[in-house]
Amino acid sequence: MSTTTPRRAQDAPGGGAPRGGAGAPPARRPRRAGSALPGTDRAFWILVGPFFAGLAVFSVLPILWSAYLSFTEARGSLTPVRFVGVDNYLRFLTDQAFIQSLVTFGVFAVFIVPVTMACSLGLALLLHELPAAQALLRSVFFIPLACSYVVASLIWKLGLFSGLPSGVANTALSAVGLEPISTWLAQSPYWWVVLVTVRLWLQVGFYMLLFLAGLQRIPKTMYEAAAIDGLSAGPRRFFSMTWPQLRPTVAAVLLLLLVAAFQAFDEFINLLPKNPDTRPPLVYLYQVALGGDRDFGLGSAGSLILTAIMVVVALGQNYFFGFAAAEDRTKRRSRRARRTGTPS
Amino acid sequence: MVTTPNGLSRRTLLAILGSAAVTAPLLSACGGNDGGTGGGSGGSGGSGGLSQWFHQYGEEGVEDAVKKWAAAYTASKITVNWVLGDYAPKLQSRLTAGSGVDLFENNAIDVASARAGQYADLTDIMEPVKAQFSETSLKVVTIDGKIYGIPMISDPQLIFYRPSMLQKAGIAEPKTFDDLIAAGIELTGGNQKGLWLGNDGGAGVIKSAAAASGGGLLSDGDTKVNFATADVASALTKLKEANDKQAVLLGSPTDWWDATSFNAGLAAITWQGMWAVPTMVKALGDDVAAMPVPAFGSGKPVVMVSGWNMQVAAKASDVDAAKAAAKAQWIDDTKFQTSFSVDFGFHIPPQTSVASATTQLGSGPAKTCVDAATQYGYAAGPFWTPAMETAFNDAAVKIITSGADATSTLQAAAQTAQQTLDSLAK
Repeated sequence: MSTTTPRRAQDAPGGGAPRGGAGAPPARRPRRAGSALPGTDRAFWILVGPFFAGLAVFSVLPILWSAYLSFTEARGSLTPVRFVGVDNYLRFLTDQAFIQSLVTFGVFAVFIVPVTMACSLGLALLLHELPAAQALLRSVFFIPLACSYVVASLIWKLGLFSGLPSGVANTALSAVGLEPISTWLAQSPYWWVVLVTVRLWLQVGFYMLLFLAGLQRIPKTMYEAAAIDGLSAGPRRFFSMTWPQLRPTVAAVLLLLLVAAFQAFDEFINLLPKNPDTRPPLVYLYQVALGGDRDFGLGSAGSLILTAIMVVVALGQNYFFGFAAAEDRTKRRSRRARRTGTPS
Repeated sequence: MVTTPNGLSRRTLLAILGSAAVTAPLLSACGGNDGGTGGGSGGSGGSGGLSQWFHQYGEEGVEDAVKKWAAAYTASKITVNWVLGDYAPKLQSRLTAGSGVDLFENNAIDVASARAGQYADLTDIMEPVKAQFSETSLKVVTIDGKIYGIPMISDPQLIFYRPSMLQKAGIAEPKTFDDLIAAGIELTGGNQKGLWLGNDGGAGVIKSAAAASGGGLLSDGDTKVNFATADVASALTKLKEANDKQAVLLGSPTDWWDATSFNAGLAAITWQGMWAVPTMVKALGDDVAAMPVPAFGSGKPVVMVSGWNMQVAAKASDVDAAKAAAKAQWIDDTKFQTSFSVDFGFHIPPQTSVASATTQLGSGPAKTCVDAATQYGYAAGPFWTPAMETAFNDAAVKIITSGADATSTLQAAAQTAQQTLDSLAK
């Protein structure tokens, strides 16, 4: 998807097809394959129809209903009792617990996003250079992804980070002469160690694969050319060649990681005792809407606020790091031109 | 330019799918989640069949007993649905949907559901026998003058301790909350902690303490939140002190309701439900004793009593048949009620005549539990809602583990809880 862009960026100044806009429109593709091949339209709807129907019934309708509920009082029932305007929204926006949950997400994201990014990129770089056993190691790192968060949480909670002196982590601490920690799950900053490691273990393999794919798309000839110019493998080559070429992958991984962090739920609810400092937004929403009070009106308002925040974050992120959007490419080209004195 | 067959650019398609991927889970996380209801069928299936829901009891043998009992009931065919995992959300989503559940046990009868008409009114079958039930058990099933459940079991929560450990340290049974904390600090050493009050550091005990400090958690006829008192603040400060001195066991593999850590000798004093008495006696023999959560400040000792209640869904396939079954099981069949209360974990049968006839509860720590519950039993009732409990627990945890200022944190929590309580006012 995104990894084709560098090459296109090189082609573009030459005879690349203009991407819409000013110039004479290129000869349009035959309007739709369907008009040329009878039955394609039908095939399209047969294949895509069920998906769209499912999306409409199980996602779009509930979203619309929840938007409606968010303006009403609906407690313990999906049928609204009365219209309350924006009360639910106001209550959520002034709710200390909700704001605290956003802070928790923020802290979690600050830990998990860069750590996962660095680890998966590091692993990908190591594996990419490996002459043998690459496929095996790829699988080894990828396998944890098949494990559920709940199961992993239990392993972390009962085995690795139990507060008892017999827990694995505490045994390791004792072995090097440190005091065992009984508050792995009950106190900051220890709980971040537990939360970050479990998520890292589960997802690092997946992002490593994305980076590996990104690395494999970088033409070998570029490295050969660089070698001829005297640039050998090392940090400088990484930062001046590999990293810029990986940019679209980095943008994708960053967005996926942020979204995943925002959706954090399983490990928080399974690992930790109820503590307002470790309650990310989804756990809080779950408590409001599906906990004992089942305040669906309030919960719906909260989920829409959360969605809005997420959309803003995603758009902002896309604006700054984007998937190599057109203007972005221009920026990069002019930067490179400034640096090298020639258009690429 | 790359386009898909229907003319969307790949980027547009990605954008659509991407935004769907971002928003759908966020929103659906808020929707109903039935999540699978374990074995048995959720459907009541018409034709006179009743679907009866139980949460998963931890003790061996309860499931078999309940299923046998259901099978022995002949007036209707009862299918037991033994629900694994998070019971309340699964039950509530079925009640909200209005299908799949006829009879169900519930430990948190709530005002909103009652007023939303999800529970069948059981006043007619309870009224004639009301006098037989304990006051605390009736309090939790009564909303707006109507009775919505038949109390099945009462579960008092108390302080349990190892007399041998206290004796060895020359400490008498604590009579005040301050003594309790002091004993806990004193009894900490090596791999043994003085206190084991739950992985959150003891918010539950403090709830007992709040109830004890005069007036209960709610006062003025359940219209005023009453936990932001000087006594509660001082109890929390004391508990923080114990946590700071590492006298409180945290991070046990199982939470407070499971006595394993206490049985393994990891703590000298614990907060525990009476249900765990059989396992504690099995593991520790005579070396376990019970006492109410001691008085503090100006209050008196207190024993929080929770419990389970049998209810009928208002939208049951046959409300009358379901009510008849509930009455036969939980009002008339005292023999099964007794067995249910003592053959697995220990519970107190809410019918006082049944409780007093239950010989197994007449000695040892179990007797202390029954006596203490009778004398000091307290239940906050249905107007103390989960949201209020969350507000209170959050405050307690913040004070105990993060060192927040006790008085102002409690006041803020009381304000939040009062907001919820006000929204329930008719």
